[in-house]
Amino acid sequence: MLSISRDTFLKDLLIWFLLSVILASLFAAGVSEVADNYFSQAVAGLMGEVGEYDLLFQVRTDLQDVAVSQIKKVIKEKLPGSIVKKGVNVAGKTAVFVGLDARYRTKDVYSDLDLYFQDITGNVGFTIMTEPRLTLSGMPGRVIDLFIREAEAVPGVKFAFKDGGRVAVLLESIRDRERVQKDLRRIIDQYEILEVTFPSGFEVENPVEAGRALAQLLAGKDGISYIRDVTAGESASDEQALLITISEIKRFLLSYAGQVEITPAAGSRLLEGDLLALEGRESNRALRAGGALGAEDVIVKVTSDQGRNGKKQGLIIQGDASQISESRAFLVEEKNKVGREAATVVVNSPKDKLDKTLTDSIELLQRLHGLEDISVEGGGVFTAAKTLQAALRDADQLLSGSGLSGAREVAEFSHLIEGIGGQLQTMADTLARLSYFENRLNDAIAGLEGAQVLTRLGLIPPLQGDLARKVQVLDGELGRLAEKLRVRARILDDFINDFNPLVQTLLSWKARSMELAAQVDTIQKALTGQSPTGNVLAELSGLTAESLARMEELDLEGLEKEYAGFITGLEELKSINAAGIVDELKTVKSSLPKLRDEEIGRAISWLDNYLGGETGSRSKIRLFVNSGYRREGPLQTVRGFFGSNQVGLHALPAAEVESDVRNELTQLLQEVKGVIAAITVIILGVLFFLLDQTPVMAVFHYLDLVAPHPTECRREAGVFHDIWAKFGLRENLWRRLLPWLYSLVLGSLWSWLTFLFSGAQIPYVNGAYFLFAGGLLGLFFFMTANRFHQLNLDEVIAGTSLGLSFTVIMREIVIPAGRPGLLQFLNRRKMVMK
Amino acid sequence: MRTVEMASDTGSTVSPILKIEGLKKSYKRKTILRGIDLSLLPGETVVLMGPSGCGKSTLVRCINRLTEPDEGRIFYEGRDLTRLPAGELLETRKRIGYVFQHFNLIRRLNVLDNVVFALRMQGMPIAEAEKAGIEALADVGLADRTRDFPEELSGGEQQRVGIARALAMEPALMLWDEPTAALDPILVGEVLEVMERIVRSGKTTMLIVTHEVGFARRAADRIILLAGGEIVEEGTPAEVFSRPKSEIGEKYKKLLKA
Ligand SMILES: Nc1ncnc2c1ncn2[C@@H]1O[C@H](COP(=O)(O)OP(=O)(O)O)[C@@H](O)[C@H]1O
Ligand SMILES: [Mg+2]
Repeated sequence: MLSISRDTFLKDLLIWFLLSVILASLFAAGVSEVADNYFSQAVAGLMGEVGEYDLLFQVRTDLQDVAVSQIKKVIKEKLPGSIVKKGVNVAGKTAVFVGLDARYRTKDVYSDLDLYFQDITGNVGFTIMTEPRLTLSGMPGRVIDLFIREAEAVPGVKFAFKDGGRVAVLLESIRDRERVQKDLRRIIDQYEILEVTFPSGFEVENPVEAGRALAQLLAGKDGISYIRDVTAGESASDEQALLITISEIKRFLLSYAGQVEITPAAGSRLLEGDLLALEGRESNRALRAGGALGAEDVIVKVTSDQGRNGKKQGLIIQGDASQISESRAFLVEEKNKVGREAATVVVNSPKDKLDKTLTDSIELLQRLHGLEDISVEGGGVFTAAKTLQAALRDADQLLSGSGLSGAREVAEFSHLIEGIGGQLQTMADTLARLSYFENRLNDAIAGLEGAQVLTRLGLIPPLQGDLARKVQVLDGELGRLAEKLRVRARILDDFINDFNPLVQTLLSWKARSMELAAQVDTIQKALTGQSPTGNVLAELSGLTAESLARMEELDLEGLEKEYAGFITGLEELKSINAAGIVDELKTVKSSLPKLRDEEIGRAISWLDNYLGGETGSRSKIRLFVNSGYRREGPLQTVRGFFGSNQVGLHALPAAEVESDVRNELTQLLQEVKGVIAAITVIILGVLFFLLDQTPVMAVFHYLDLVAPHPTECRREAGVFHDIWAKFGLRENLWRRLLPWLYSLVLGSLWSWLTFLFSGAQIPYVNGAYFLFAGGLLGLFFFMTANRFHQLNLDEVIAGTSLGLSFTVIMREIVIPAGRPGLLQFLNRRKMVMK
Repeated sequence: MRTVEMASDTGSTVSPILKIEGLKKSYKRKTILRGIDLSLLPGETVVLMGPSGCGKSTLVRCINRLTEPDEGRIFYEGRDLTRLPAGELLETRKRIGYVFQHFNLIRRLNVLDNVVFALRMQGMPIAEAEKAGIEALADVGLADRTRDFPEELSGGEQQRVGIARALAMEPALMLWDEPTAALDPILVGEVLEVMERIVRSGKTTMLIVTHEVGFARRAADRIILLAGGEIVEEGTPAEVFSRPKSEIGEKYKKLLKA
């Protein structure tokens, strides 16, 4: 009866089985494919095609137009060629996508994105969604640099950067993902986080101290070759506002702190996080390789790898920019040890600049009232010049007329020159003073311009309310003042430039004349009554004539007029409310944080840690170590340290690798697809079994009727007969189990195969579960078959009494009386009595 | 009708068509048949009577193994049915006609198809099968109802179709399990009439379970009374109904008088 080649109902069942499995698989696969397509399109609509967008802004829906236009402006200025697209509105926020132009997909740009988009109105925050990307997360903030470094060494990684408290790893190609993911896992596996656990009630006074001390204790022992104390705890709250404020503070501090441009020495490679030492001004001993680091030396931390042409950026974390005396920088090794010379640095301290500028401006503005003196003094130049002119004419006349023929004339000439000397000195002094004033004026202009630039950059904190408005007013006034002063300075400059050569000529004339006059006097005294030598006189007269000619060249009248203009200009300046501006500047100056670079640097590091999800409070003692150490050793050390055997040491994974959003979504969709297929398989399974198998199973409840089994055979079935009999099992056990087995195996195989072929998938549920569940389903249907299929037993009995075979009974009586389904459909071909 | 002597084991000249030896049947812990011995000679009409639930149906069903007996042997034409392999059992069943209390017609088939169904399944050509079918239907007086469906017939007509279905197979032995019990009293007559005709034709051996005492007295060669899982009395209708030996026999005697 089991022969497949014969045309029996069992063969019908086998064909049904194969066909129903194929149909159900195809249908389930089709349904899931359609669903997948639909969802994929939805995702693409939601977040663009792969690699289309790089940034996702969440802006307040009510401010979306402003935000978008601002984003566009930033893009036009900083990232031309990039695209902006508005996405969906969800819960009062609008998604705005930005696709960066390919040339901006660099580490530099990604590191600066925060700065670019800091002032977008209504921006709640943005996410970097560049693909293909993997993310390392869950690591302590202090080892983020380490992971960035290691990740970037993996082939196929374009670059890695810090994205919040995580490390974003951008890949060259999506094809590398699996491999890079594996490599990243391998990197992560090289490390572990050891967390110290305490019995309840055990108090550690200062976890941060304890962590540091433990790190020192454990280092180098029991196979621990790498250890970093990462105790400075966990995020206490994730209040968005706080984070934004802190980012803002960090941004200010960063632009305010001493920024150090580092040029690595030839052959030296500097990495982010490296420390450099610079000799401090107050340090009493010179820095040298192998020496110790002094408290007065300045320490710079390398913060960015991405300076232009090999240069790097740094931050002062010990000392102050003003303390640096030398540009040579040495690497800091371990604790307080100076390593090789590694770089030269240029310090740019916006803080110092700002301070100096403000000081200069205030000083100048306070002196504006003293300008009257200058004008009077300036006027003196003209008096002096006129006196000099007259004196020169006299001298010329004296020389060209009678000449210095006698002692009287010589004495007269000497007197004349001495008289000029006084005037000449006055004039030179005045010019020098004017020149000094001009310099001050230029300084002031530079200062005002600088102050203006700084106010514009928003560097003067805290830019809030009234002060912000004042600074804006100040900005305007500084500009106007600077412009006026510039005009004055130019006039003064011209004036001085005109006068100066004349004064020089006159001064040399005077010196030479004095000399020559003295000679004439001496000769006369020696050779009484004799006239001075002709050539001396000739020279004297020549010089005087030349000086006079120069003097006449000078357009004294014009200059005087011009100077008068300058003076009235100065008068005008006085109308400016200098005092008011001075007050504002003083306020600004006094409100500047009085911080040393090291304080700023440390604050930035701390903020970084905070932004990386860490604060100092309520911390657990955690140590970041290499894996592969000997387990028991550190535990003993830690227990010894705390003096308690209850203290435990818990090893945690150093970090985790996450896929990008799309990949996660894709995976999720893959799962959804699998689940949809699985649900379809289940529904189809129920349907197929309900329609097609319940009649068969209902008949199997009367197996003896349709498939008679001789009594005697049963009796002779074997030694078990008696045992079965004892339990009331008179019939052959195998026969009794057969329908159950049929249902179980059919259900299992059907579900399992359909599950396999349709690509169905349920998370955490593998095919074996379907074998199991399908078996249960089969058994369930066998047990309840009579409820789902009203078997007409009378007809079956009639058929049996007529000597019809099982196959005929099924084909002609049972199946046609059942529900329309695949089996009934197939059966129609086999039916004789149509 | 033929008179047959009760076959003594040695003296019989005609071998019985059906011989049951020591038939036992229990359901769960309840014993229904306690060892039945029974023989039917070819052409003999035996009426089996007994109170409800005494095991009459069980006995009849055991004969063609619609119910599997627990113990005992059933010889049909000399072959032990209880040991027959499935294939041969089916062949044997075809030659044992069975008429059910509830007719057991196939609802999806019309009258003629119900009758020719088994013939067709044997591979008989349609025309030949239908000819035989129409003949059988004519025998029960339903030649004009061939295209009707069972639910369009009255109970008596349905039962006559059931009889025609059995007759069409030209059985050597016919088993009747209370063929009139489910019928409206008015309709009982037409069925009994057909039955009597078949009996009189003498073509088949009949084992009839019925409560129709009148019919039994008229048609039976032998009456067997079953009670408590055992045969309590056996004899010609005259013997059983006029001088009953058993309690149950007395009841039928009274029933007949009334
Ligand atoms: N399949 C069965 N399972 C259990 N008990 C049964 C079954 N068939 C019949 N019986 C019981 O066997 C007894 C005899 O039944 P049956 O042979 O139908 O009696 P009757 O003489 O009325 O035809 C009854 O008590 C009935 O309940
Ligand atoms: Mg009965």
